[in-house]
Amino acid sequence: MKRLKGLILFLLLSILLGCWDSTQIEDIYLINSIGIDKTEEADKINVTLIAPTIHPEAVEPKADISSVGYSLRSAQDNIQSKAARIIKYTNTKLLILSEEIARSGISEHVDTLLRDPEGRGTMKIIVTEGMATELMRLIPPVYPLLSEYILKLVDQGYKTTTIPSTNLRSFNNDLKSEGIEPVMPYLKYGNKEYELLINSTAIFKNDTMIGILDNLDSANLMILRNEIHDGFFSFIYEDNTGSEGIVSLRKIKGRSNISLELIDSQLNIFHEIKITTHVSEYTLDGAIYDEEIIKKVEAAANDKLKRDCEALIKKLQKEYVCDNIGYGKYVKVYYPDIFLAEDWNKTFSNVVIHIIPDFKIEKVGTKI
Amino acid sequence: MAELNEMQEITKKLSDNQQLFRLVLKDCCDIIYRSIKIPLANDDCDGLLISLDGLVSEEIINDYIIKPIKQHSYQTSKLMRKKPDMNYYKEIILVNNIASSSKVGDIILGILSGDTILMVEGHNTALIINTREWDSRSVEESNVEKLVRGPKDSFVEDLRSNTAMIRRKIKDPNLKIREVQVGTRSRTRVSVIYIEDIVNHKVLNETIEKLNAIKVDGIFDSGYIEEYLESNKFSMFPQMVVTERPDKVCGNLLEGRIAILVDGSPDAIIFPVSFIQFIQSPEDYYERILYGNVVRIIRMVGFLIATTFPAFYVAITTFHQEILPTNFILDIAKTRVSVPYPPVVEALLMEGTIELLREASNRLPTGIGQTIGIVGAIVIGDAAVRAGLASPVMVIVVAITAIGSYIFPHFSTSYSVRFIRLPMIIMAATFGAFGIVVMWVLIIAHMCKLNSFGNPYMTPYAPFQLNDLKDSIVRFPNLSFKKRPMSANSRNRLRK
Amino acid sequence: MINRYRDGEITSGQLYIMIVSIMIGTGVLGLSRAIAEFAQQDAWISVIINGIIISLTTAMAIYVAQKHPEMNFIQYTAKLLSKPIAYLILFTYSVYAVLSTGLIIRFLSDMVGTWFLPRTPTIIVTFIIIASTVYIVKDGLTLVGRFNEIIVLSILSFIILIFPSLSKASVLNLMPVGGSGVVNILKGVLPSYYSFAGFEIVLLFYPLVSNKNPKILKYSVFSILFVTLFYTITVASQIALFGYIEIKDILYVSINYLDVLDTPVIERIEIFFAIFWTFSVFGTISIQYIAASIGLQSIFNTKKTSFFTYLFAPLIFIIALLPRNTVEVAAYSDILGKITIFFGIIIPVLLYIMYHLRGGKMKNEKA
Repeated sequence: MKRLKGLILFLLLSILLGCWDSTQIEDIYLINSIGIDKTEEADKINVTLIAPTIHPEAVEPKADISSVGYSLRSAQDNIQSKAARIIKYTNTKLLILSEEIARSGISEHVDTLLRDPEGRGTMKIIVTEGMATELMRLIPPVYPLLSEYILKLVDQGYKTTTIPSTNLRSFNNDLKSEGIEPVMPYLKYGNKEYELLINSTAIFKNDTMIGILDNLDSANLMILRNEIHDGFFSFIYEDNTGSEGIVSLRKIKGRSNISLELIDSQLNIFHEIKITTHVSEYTLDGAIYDEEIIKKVEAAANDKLKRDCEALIKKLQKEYVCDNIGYGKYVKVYYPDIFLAEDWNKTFSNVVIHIIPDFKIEKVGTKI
Repeated sequence: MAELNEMQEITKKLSDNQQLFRLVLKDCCDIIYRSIKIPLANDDCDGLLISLDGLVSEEIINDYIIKPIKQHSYQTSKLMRKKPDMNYYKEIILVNNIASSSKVGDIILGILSGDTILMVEGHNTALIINTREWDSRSVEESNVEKLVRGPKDSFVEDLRSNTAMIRRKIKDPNLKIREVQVGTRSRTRVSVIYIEDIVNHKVLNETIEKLNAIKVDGIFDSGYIEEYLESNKFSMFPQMVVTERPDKVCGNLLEGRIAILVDGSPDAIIFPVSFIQFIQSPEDYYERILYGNVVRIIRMVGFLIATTFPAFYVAITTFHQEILPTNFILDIAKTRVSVPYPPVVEALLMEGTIELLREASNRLPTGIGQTIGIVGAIVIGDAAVRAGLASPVMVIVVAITAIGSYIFPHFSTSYSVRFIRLPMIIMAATFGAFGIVVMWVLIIAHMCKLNSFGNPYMTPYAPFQLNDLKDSIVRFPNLSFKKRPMSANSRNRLRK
Repeated sequence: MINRYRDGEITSGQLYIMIVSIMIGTGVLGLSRAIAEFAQQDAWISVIINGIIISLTTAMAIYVAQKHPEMNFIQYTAKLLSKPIAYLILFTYSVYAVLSTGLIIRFLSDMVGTWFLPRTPTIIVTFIIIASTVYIVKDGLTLVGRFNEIIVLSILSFIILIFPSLSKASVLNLMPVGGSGVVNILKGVLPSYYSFAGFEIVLLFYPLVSNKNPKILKYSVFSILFVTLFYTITVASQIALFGYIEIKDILYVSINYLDVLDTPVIERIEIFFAIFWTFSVFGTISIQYIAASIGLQSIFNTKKTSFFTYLFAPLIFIIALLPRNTVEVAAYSDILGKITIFFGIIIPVLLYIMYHLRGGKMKNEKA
């Protein structure tokens, strides 16, 4: 009987004392995306938050509020005073950084978002041209919510092997791991209004952005980073008769194989890339349905990819002095002394890298 | 009323006896006193027949008691040249079951049970002749435990019919039926049924002791007995299986368990049992293996849903909004805008409404009951949503839970489920997922503590019996059931 | 009521399960981090070494206990090491067990407070945990054994939850195998010991097993090897995902391990991991608690363990509230971890040696 009384008392107490942690859904701003900008004052940042409204009679489909602060959380505090509901990052999927912020180092923001268990590690990050606030004010005609639109753009770009899909965790991983530097998708404004173009990559050295790789370089970087999915690989092909045409190969899957060798105390990296493809476009007059011709097409594709990738690597080595591909991880495992001797990025610029692509054409489609 | 001395004996004087009985059974207008003159050689003898109108078969009394007495007594007494004694009457009465006694207590009990009493002048022994016949329900399908495939007979209120149904299924001389009388005024016959060479005699003896020790004035249903025999009355889990089906009883008897049937009640109780049996139905054994197993798994899932689903919903919408996809959460948020109170109150309100509906539809006659059920569910739910008193998701959650709680073949389990569900919603509302975890920990600990007559409640999981797992959540082919389960505590483990 | 099992006794199956259950508890969360600090990418090798050492000491402990079938822990320790020392050991063990229980409860409240309920006062959470544990424990060891038999199934979910994030892991993070050097690997053995702590209950519980048979030695060692295997896979997969440098920054590695992937219906599965982990920790707490009660019960020869159970409850409550913040909890756990080496390794080895020394003597005496 005593137990029963105790139990009842406890139950009553627990209801009466209230629930400390309960929050009603309709009292929360489920933030969709966060945007960070620089302000005129040197050490302050401007943070913008977007959340969908849920009241059926509200005029706007979303609410966007911004405020200024010394860091992410102090800005959040200022925003809360302008917000009618509690701000929660539990469903935030997108973090938008302006190019200025990216170029001045972002590790503190990444750390803030990872520290509180509320935030997700799978939040995607992009860098945008111009100000994040302006981007977030857009209402694209296709999707009412900008963040969803951008996320789907990033998704598509990733699937067609054009841009990386970086989220907080992978960025943090690349940042903290030795031998690889992070990358991020870069958003540009298109020609028409509301047209957003995400087909370039921003490359980072440590936590600071140092450059932008355009469309083709970005695609090659993805291939080198072993993220080969869908998408077309097009090049100009010259057949026996001398006529030229475009061949487009649709990538199905790919695999990388990196091996290292020390030749005359010079580190050589051999990077084999095997890509399985189908022929999607063959604008020449002849047929492709011939073993010899297929082999020649494959050779031509190999050639083109080799040249492009080696040009890209040269750019990374000499111009940016930054290993965004991840060769360092392999060197660290197999040749730790070379790796630890000095800063890997410097060593990287002197390494000889051989790219050995291996296209394999599996199917030619429905025509010969 | 005069104090009835059970051990008092009747005298040889018939008139005294008649006066005694008329006094004891005063104001009972349905008792028939039939004086008969027994024609004997020397002179006529007086006899008295007492019977209870409504419990006796007039045909037997007329054709097989009065007729033989009237017809044969004269001749026989002439031949025998002396007055016949009670044994003579025992011979000429053409009835199967006759006892004799001089104790007033036995005689009264006989009268009130439907026997006819014959007393003859000059003898102080009375004959208690079994002439029982009354209206009783015919054997029909049980309303509560319906099967699609399987025998459709179920117990009725008459004890003898019930034991007959069991005898028909197990024709083993080792099937023993012991009778105990419980209740000082109701004198209800309680049968304890078991198979001698497989049952655990310690449990049996303790049961009989407990039954004999029950001091109550009347019992009308096996539920009373269940409460007396249980060791843990306040637990929310039943420790005995209650069933109306003879095939379920027989299956359990063959595993070495004990069944108790109470006269006047169609529910048999079976023990010792373990928790897993409340999720089993005989149909699982009759149907094909695949169907039987899938249905059992559905029931297990149903159990989890029925206990935890509303609490889970409350926990997610109040504490852990990050679990669900954003679109879903937004939809829920949109529908909840108009609801003025937190999900807890909403959940409790809807649960309360469903409980009211349930109780109400139990009382109403069949036709109206079904209609009200449908009306209640659809109309009230819909209207509540539109009035802003509940959100559609909540209605769905509560509806699925309600359906899920009726999935059990054993009806009382649905009560257990309801009692678990309510505190869990409150714990979830206060502490979120942690509250649900703590509640489950407490329930598991409670279930592990429960003993059903010495048998741990959570067998075969804790303590772990590998062999018994063949028939727990999934069942293996019937051919592989070679041994009896440990939970039955039987002496004889091999099925022979 | 008749009981088929005598109260206070457990079956051998329950013993194995309790060994597994008490070891897999709070240590799982931060195991990789603790070891990776020293052993870097070869942390999983440290785990294997640790497991082997512990299997050996457990085997020794059970061996000695098996040679004294009718005596309980205090009796055979008294025989081998003299009575006052035995009482001292058991008493300090009980004290250690009480402290350990309090600390584990505090760890659980901390974890709940970080991931589930940030604003709920620690007192309330701690109170609920202790109240539930007392309910589980007050009816004796048999109940704790049965309870753990069911709770141990949550470990299955841990194993299942290792697989989703493997798609993002890369073997490269684990290479070169052995690259960190033998010294570092051995240094990593010490911090991993705390995650294995708890197996010393074998000393106390073996005499209470109702169906003793020689196979218990084999199967107990199997249980410990099973836990070792589980830890090895966990540590290896976590290092493969994060790399040993990033792991040093993460406090609750196992939970963040699941944060790298978006799952289709339920977007964040960490909550599920945390739920199953809470079940598992309840199991650990219940065993540790009853070990403390049984310890003192043997010393003072009281009839029911529930007396000590109720006695300890307020004590443990206070201990759980003592540390001021998460950092102090970690510091205290470190100290306790070092004490547990004493009970886990030194005592069994000592008993084993003394058994052979004395046992030899006794054989001579008999002859």
